[in-house]
Amino acid sequence: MTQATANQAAAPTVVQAAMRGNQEFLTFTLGKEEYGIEILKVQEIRGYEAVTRIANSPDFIKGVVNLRGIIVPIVDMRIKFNLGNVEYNEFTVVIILNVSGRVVGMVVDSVSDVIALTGDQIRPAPEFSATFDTTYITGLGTLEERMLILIDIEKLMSGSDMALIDSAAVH
Amino acid sequence: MSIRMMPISFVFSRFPPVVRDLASKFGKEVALKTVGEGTELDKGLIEKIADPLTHLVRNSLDHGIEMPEVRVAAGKSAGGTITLKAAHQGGNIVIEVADDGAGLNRDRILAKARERGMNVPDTVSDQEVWQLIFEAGFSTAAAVTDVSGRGVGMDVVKRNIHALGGRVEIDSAPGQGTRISVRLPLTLAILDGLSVSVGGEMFIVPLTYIVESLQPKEADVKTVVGSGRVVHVRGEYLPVVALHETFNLEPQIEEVHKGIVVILEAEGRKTAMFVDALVGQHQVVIKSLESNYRRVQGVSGATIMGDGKVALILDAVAIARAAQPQLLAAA
Repeated sequence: MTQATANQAAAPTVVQAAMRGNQEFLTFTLGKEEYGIEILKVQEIRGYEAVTRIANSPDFIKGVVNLRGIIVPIVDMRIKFNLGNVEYNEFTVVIILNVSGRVVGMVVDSVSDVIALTGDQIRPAPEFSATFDTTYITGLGTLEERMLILIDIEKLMSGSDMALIDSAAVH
Repeated sequence: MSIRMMPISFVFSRFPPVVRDLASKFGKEVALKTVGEGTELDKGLIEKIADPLTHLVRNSLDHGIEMPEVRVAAGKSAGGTITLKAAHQGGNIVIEVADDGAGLNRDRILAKARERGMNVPDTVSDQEVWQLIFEAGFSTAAAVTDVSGRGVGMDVVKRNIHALGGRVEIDSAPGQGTRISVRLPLTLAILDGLSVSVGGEMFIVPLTYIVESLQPKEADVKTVVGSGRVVHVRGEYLPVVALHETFNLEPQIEEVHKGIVVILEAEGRKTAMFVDALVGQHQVVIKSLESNYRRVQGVSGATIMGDGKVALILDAVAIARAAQPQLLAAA
């Protein structure tokens, strides 16, 4: 189930990419939207397995799983962003992230590919009305006809509305 | 596992200078004896036990051992002895701080307790009297010194040791000395637990908090003011905490008398925790929830079961506390 997206394998290409002014992103879909996150934050990709629920947590926190002996919380981005059909089957994908020294699993509809974007392919995110928090959107990437929403996953996951980190620890 | 175990000499070795300094300060003659320095315990425990032990040793020196002339007048040798002793006993490690000093003064402790407005009958057992010195702000020292007498300390010692899953016991005889035994689990990494199931989820209850588990008779389950439930067990009315309510789960069993109640004892109070069923007894390895997630109310950690699934370890103290508001409202 675990695909080889280990940081070590990705590191040299990213260094080369950085020298050319490129950044590499792992792209995934939520409903009809396509998102990109910095590849270096991704530890691995695996299937969804039964979680142990945690009481009194927000509904997008599915619970915790055992990842080779460590306890990892699982967040369902489809519920968090209100996108896509929330169902769990053998095709459900979990991206295991390594952010702020923590390991967090993120359920998405599907993982597409790893792409490199040059600086001129990234446009700044437009201003939206204040109805939703967009501070974690770093830009919009264009790749042929596709639009990628590039997000700062570290900022998103450590934000207080994700309820993943004790509020005392955030401050 | 062996890498986590360290001999207790790491802690004991810091005491000779402490004792020497304090003894010369007070003008007392005190010898320190250590027994069982090779006894091994968890590295995490070593770090946490050092402060409470230091406090106990200072206490013995200040309150326990008398001045040389007093000792001679009492027919004892002029020099007192403080003994630090560590030994394994079953799955526990027992660390003793003993002195051959004056012993605890029952009358003075009782007088002090009454002075503080505690209602203590004359007939209480010595053990219960000794436990009074663990109350916050309790000191019978006539004079406040920079070492002791401030009345902060013993309650902190007890709280710290409880937090490590341990117990403190006191033995004392007037004129012969005092022995304080600290009983700790061997390791913080492994916990003896009872697994219970509620609404299809499995939880681990630390065995140290469990008094008993039973299926109450229908007649023994009563309500107070309509909602607060109590269960009548051996002459006591214990508040019922339904675990499925605490964790917002769909229970398989709604009625207390059809399920199981696990009687927990935490912070001196008993609570009946209502669960669907008992599953079994396990030794589990404690994993932190907080390293990747956050603190969860009512849960002290997590573990991985034999089938690879994660089970949460209950925080018995928090569960017991959850029962108290109900009880107060009912009373």
